[in-house]
Amino acid sequence: MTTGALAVYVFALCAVAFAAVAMIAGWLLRPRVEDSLKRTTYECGITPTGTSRVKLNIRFYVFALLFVLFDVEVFFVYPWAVTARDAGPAALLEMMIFLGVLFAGLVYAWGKGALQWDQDYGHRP
Amino acid sequence: MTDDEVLAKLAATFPKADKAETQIKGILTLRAASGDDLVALARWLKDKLGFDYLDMITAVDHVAERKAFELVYCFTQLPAGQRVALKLETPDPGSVPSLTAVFPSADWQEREVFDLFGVRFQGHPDLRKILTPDFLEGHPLRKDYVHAKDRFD
Amino acid sequence: MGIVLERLPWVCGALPGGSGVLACADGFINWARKRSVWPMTFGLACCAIEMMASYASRFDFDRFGVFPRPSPRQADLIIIAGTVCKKMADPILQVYHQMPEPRFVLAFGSCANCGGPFHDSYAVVKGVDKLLPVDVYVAGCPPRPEALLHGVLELQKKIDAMRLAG
Repeated sequence: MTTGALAVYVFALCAVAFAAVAMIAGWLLRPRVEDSLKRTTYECGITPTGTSRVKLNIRFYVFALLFVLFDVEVFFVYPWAVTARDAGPAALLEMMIFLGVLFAGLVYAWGKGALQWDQDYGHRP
Repeated sequence: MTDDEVLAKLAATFPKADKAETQIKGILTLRAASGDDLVALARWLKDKLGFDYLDMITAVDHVAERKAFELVYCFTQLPAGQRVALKLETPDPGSVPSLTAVFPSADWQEREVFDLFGVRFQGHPDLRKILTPDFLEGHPLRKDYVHAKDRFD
Repeated sequence: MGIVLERLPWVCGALPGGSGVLACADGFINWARKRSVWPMTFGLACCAIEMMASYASRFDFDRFGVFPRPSPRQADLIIIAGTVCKKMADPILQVYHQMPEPRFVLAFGSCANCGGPFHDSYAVVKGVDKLLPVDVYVAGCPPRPEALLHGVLELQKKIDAMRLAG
């Protein structure tokens, strides 16, 4: 096992432990009083009515989708970036083509209005 | 439009209605002759004279003196800020036509009058308690209301 | 209190010098609790305005570690600010029961203390202590924001007197 890989595993373990220790410590230390009403859903003191399904605007989904797309693109750029100097001009051209294709996709999304946050609600007299 | 103009127009259109004996301070107070007159008068005030905002509906308990409630309606003409009030005597127990067809905001106002005084409104879409808790029986603002002890007293 | 802190007095009783540890633990826990009292604002009537004023910059509650929480799940204290109508009694009880321990109740203003000017009304509960166990009463109609600050300081003294050993 190389030191590089070991560092990653230790880091992952620390991340899990950070959350786990905080939650377990809380569970051990906090007061525990059973109250029949305590676990009821909060709705300003009244019995909750209606469904809790909320209609969200599609813009959140579109932005998240585009983010994931370009995040994965960046993920692919990282290994190329560390070996680009050794790989030569062919690798540079390949990466530029890759980025170009994705950039064209971005321009298309932009033109189609996917990046529009507010809608034009029309002018009211 | 001055008060006199309103009175003149009223005399022309509704001969049975007139100026009420006791005026609300600062507001021209008219008296409707009957329940049917009331709805027609309210519609006339809204459509012809422009009093399109119903301020409030309330009642005065005169049951001890003459077994009647005096309903009070207040209308406002919003651009000029002019107000007019309308009084209607209704016997107790009895009912009055609802104004919800003319003023949708009369819905809850009439529910409040029903809840607190017990005056019923004919043609009201949903006449039930609005302010008092469900366990409270009776109509609290009546002078003959006797409070029954509940779990909070 | 939790699993660890419930057994702490017993453990400290067994150890030499354990009472010192217990006192330290008490002091630390009470210090942490009193210096970050997060109220759930239950503004019902005019006293709500005075309560809001005490949160705002002139009287600044935040310097005491107090800032309002909209949900009972995140609150230590419930400030009943205003007249408690009978129709509101059930929501108040529901909200109080949804607060996690340790929880405190502060009755703010005459209406919450005893029904106030509306004591004889058919619709008013004569004081919120008919529904909830009140820790601090702040008198006034409405009390000044300084009075609410004083009320929370009194609550801090009460928290100081809490002990793990019961």
